Amino acid sequence: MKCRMMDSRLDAFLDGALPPLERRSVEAHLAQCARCRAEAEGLKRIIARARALPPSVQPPRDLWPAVEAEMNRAVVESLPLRRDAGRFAWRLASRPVLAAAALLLVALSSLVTWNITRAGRTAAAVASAPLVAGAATLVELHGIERDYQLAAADLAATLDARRASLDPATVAVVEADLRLIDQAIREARAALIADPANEDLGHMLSTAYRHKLALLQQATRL
Amino acid sequence: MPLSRSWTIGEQIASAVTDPLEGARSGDPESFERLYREHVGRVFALCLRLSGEGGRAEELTQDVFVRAWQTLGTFRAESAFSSWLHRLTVNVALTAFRGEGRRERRVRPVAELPDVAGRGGAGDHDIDLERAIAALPPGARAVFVMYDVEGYQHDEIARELGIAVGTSKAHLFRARRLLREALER
Amino acid sequence: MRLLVQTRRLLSLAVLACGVAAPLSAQRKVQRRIAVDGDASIRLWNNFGSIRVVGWDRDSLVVTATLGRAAEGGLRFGGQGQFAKMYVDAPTDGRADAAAQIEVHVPRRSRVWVKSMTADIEVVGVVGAVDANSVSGRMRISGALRELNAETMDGEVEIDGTATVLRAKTASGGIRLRGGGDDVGLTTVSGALFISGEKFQGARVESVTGDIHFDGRLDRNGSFTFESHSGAIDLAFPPEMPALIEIRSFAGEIHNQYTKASPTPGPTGRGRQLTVASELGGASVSVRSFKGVVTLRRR
Repeated sequence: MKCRMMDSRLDAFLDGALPPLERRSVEAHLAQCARCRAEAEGLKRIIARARALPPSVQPPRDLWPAVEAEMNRAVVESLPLRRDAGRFAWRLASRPVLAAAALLLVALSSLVTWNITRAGRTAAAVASAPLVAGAATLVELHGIERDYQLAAADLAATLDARRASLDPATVAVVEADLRLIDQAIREARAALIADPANEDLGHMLSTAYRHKLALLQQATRL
Repeated sequence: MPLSRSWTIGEQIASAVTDPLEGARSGDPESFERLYREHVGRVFALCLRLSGEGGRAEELTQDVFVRAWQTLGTFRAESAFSSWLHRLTVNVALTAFRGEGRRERRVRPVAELPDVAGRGGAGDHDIDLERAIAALPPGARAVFVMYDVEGYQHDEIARELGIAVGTSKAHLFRARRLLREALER
Repeated sequence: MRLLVQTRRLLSLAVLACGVAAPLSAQRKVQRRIAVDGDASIRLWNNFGSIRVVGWDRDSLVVTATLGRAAEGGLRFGGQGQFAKMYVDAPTDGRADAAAQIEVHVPRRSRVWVKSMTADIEVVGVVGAVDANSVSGRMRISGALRELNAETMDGEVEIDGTATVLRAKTASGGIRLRGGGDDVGLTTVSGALFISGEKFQGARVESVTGDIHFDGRLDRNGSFTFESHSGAIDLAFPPEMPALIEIRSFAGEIHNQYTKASPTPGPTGRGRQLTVASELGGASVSVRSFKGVVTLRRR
């Protein structure tokens, strides 16, 4: 075997992944080639050092308080969203539900809520608001609703992962109450769209979303 | 329904709870804290090496334990808890990696790595190697840590990272040579 | 509980049928004592059966329990002094013979965290703090506490007493509170809420579809909120209770049997509203409903 063919085989050789014929070929070359031998020894050292790294490294500070805080979240006031692109803390209660000022005309996409069903997760449209020409629409409502949907989906995913360990009767209670809340959301939302300046309706819709997230969160902690 | 009449037929020998896992599965945060203390070093080491950054490693470590608490109900007692936790750590760290890693080609400043001297190992901890690993490009770093440090095979690594086996081998090839370059020349 | 009784009956029948002496009991009795501080934190859990927590004046935790056959691991304990815990080592799949009937005496001032799946939870005589969590067990808590948190999915919650900070939350279980508190929060989705008492300094009561009934008195310096989406809200106050009561309903009726005022259209022309103000100022009461009926009347 020539030196230039060695490089690509050295790793496999050192990892014991070469078939016997090739392995003998590499061994033969190493026996009489100092350069390749040095290369092999160098790689072996790196691998040995890697294997010798301590399996355990204590974090520089105690992370338990932060973990425990996450575990004990009892109030649905701030929910980190776990997405691949990173997390950001996000507050529900401090957002105004609706700006009474003039709003842009924006197409509202149909809103989706995750329902936990026995057949698995299905997306059901909560309500799709038709675009009414000339009507002011609700940019802030859309943004806040999207945040609610994301948080609810996040919680529902966690809950789904634990379904197997939940009693079916419990799941039935959660599902039944989720349906009731979803209906309340639909009704409040429809009323709000028809009467966008109504702060009470905005508050009721926000409360209904809060109930939903609280219920999902309570269920994930069972 | 009060049970005030005391019937002492056989008194239970109540040793302190020796197996925190059962306590944690029953929902006891104190037991889970014991599991945390027992395993955090392992989890943090893995997160640190996979991410190459101290701050990120701390975040990932927290995520791992919160996820472990939430999904402890799905843990089957046949396998060892440490293996289950290890897989979960790899999953959490690499999910984060998949989302963000591709953009980051820069070499991380060495200063970002926490001072790990003297921790976790007896005496000399190979800081130079840790720093060199942290400085690897993300793909090479992930494969190197999983293969040479953690002992996974290429097919497993390929699956976790969502790459081809050949790519995994190429990353390992590159990682080893880059490390050798950084440490020995 | 019912299943356990049935098991016993079957056993007795078997005895009669076979003429063979059945084992005395398919259960075991256990007792255990642990020395703890007067203000210790105590964690208890028992998934099935019942657990009764009694506050007393001694600095010790004493457990007396009857364990079902499947609870083979028995009771597990840990800690002493500032912290102690107890749980039942039994399968969590809800089998009747995994049930345990437990009574625990704890120092009166301790902080008690108690959790169950279907076991009923009762707490009496504790004045420190209680955090009770269950899926469908019934909860009965009585006494004057500093802090109380009771959460269940579809179990019933009954509180006879007061807590400085009081929180009760259910999904479909009902909540009955007789007493009061400085800072009270009651939340349900579809359970019925019954609240009575004269010692309320501040409260927020919310439901989605559950009915809310209040029959009592609100402190003149407090803030109170009653909100429901479609549940009825029924408020009975003493006549001339100092208060400013603002009721707003979007699509539900407002019935005023407390004063002679009639509801008027809501702020934007939709819905209805009613404001009742006593000359002396008083409690700030906000009532909001989407489509449930709101009734204001005299006690």
